[in-house]
Amino acid sequence: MQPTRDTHATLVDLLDRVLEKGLVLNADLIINVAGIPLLGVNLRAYLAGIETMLKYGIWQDWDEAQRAIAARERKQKREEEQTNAPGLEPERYLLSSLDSKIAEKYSSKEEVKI
Amino acid sequence: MEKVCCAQGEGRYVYGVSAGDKEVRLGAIGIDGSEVYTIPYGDISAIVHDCSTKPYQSTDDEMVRNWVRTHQSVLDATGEQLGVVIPLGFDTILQPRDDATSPDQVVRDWLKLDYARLREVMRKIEGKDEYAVQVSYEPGLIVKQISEQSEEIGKIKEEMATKSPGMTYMYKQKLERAVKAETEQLADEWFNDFYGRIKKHTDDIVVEKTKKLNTGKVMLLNLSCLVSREKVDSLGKELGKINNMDGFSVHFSGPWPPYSFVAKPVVTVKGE
Repeated sequence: MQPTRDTHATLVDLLDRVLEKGLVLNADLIINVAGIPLLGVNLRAYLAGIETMLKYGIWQDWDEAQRAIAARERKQKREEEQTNAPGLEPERYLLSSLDSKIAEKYSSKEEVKI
Repeated sequence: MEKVCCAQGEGRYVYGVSAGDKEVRLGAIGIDGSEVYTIPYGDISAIVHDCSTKPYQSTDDEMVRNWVRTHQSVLDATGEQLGVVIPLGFDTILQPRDDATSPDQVVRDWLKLDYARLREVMRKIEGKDEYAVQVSYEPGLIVKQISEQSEEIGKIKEEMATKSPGMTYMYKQKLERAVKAETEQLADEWFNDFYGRIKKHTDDIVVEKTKKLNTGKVMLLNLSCLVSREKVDSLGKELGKINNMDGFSVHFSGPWPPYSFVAKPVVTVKGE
């Protein structure tokens, strides 16, 4: 059996990896932090959409898929509202939406001196 | 070579880190046609393009897909030219410092700080690629097999045949529960069997969450495998055997940069 890199068949594999994985750098150095706080809200919603499309099929049950996306977005928004003051700039927003454990880890670290 | 400096902004979008001690210009192959080049520190280099300090964000799905494909194609191109590449996730942008340090120097300073760790990761992934492996089964076929083979289910069916139509409903439920329990038990056995057989042909392996499929099949295992180039054929053969089993199918994609095996945060050493 040969592995495939056919773009259509492997788009989900690619998105899973490029958007969720890869080397993670110290949060002090970067604007975006890969995986957790790095992705914009829209990208995450987009990912949710992909999963939903897979689950329901791209053309069938489209209403259901739309509803599922909307429900997820609402949930996500609620969670974000709880952890974020409104109107923050993306950079700060991203940092403040850090998983609490990670935030703790990074905040406890000494400032990087180069 | 002429240096395109800072015109596109103070941020540095980092695609990955490769081996190499020279500044290499890879052309306008980056996201939105950006010029991609390497910034070396010692014998390692960051693969970057100049960008603003705002992360890439869009509600346009096709645009996002294209960005992600481009991120990947830059890593492919760099891998071909420079060999081993540590991939970074999408949208990792190094922040300019408040002082007068140039953006390229910020990148070099980062490479210097994390040099030992980056070298260690590079050693781990050198000569290896990542492959995605998913094994799924067709529930209908499996249920049929179980129904034919299981003594318990046979017994329930026999009893059901002698009962009144009113009782049939109850037996139907009983039957469903028995089939479900047997399927779950079998799924555990398959998982362990396949996992063991696949793991033998890999250098490292990560068990990912299974996904719901729209094909009516059920995903049994979802793996990211780090595989030495000389082992890919034997992995493919093993997967071929599983794929040929009745009711099972295997999805096998790659080679990818080893995204799933470099994810441990690079923690800068204190006091350096």
